[in-house]
Amino acid sequence: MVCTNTSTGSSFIPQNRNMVDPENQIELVGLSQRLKELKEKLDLSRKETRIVGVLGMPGIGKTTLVKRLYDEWKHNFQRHLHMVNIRQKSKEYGTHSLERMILKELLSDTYNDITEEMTYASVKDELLKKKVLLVLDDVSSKKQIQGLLGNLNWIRKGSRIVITTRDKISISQFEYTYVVPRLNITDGLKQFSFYAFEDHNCPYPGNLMDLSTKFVDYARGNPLALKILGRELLSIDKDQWPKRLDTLAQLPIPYIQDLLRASYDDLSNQQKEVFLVVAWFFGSGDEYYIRSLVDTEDPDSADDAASEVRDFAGNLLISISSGRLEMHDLMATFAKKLCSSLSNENNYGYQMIWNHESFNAAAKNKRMRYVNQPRKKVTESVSIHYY
Amino acid sequence: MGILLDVSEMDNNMTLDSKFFSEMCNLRYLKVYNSQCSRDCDVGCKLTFPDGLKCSMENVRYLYWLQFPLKKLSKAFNPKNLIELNLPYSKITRLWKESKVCLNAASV
Repeated sequence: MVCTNTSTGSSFIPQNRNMVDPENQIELVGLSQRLKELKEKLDLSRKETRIVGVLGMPGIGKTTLVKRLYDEWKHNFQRHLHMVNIRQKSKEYGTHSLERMILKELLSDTYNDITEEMTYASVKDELLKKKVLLVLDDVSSKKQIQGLLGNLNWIRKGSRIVITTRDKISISQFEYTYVVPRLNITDGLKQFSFYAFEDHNCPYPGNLMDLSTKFVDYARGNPLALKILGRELLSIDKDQWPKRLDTLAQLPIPYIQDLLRASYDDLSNQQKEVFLVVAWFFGSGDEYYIRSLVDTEDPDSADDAASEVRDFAGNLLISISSGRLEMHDLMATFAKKLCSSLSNENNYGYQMIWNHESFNAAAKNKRMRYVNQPRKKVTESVSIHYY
Repeated sequence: MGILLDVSEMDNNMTLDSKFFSEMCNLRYLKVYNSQCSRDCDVGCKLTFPDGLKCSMENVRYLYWLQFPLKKLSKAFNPKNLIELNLPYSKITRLWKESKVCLNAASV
């Protein structure tokens, strides 16, 4: 049994359950431990400035984690700022505008108006008077960080800066990184149960417990996936759950798909191609074996920059540990689904033939014959994936 | 370029030309499998090559073929880039006469 039921109800709902709304309440699953670990990385007892990158796949809870940190710590700093959706803001307003956004917030105690001419350099003396806490959420490139922080020489010693991203490369220049872990199976079941059951409690051992565990296993410790899945199942009759479990591979969770698509779009064409090959053909397995099959360069090469597979790990599309490569079930499903949507979009930018028309064309070219007089459109039932 | 074929989704057997693969010069991954039955079963691989199979598979890195239908591989078969060759439950009786290079792994 992985989930504890007590006679008084659930053991996981926080004691101040009436003080917070259900949304915030459940976000506490696994959060206090993560918060503790992040605080240790930031180590307020040190006098130097410290920048910590917070890394994790979409939906793992980065935003929730750093928001909580900010709320708890902002009073320790005379100037503080929590900027969200930087990926989006940067697209909308341009990287250059980020500096002025930060100045406007940080110097609101000093200047009524931030003029066009003001830069970190021009108001450096004022900035250096006070320590800052900066929480920068959802950064997608080094360039954005450069736009946000400039050359760092305006930051007073003792400041703390937290940057969240799903892309390892964008924070690789910083010494400290905190990787937000997945929920373990116990916490995963708690998260799932909160949304999937009216009483928010984990089911007792038996059929629903087994089914629930399978759903949790599918979402592999991703709190957002568990939340969306749980909510969906709450609205479905329990008799239908086994059916939904069977169809998950074909009908994955839509919101998660969008998040994953954003990660995928950040890849180069070469990387995209290799990603799809890994998803379709190999999934999880020995890292060296898969790299030898799919990397452009020899896996024995010391240069990791030449490895597409290592790039995905940086981008969290897969994980690599102890020589084993794991592709999350969500990712594998996503990749397979993606192939069909790519063929509809017809703008994938790299050579990939994937549809029945192409297959038909290839078959016709080779004067392929069907025996047994099959139905007219036999190739539509033949899943030959071609890229 | 890769081809992934789940024969359990095929309604009928299919007869293919011996040169079917030889013109796909960029073919790197080829997997013919059965998602309903991974072991030996009566279904067969559903692909037949009455005139044999003539192709070098020069760029193929990964070749998995459940119940490969032929008794031997083509003379032209010269998979210089092959890393894994896996032909479970095949009808193969002989792989090749002379040794071929660049086989890192092979299981039949």
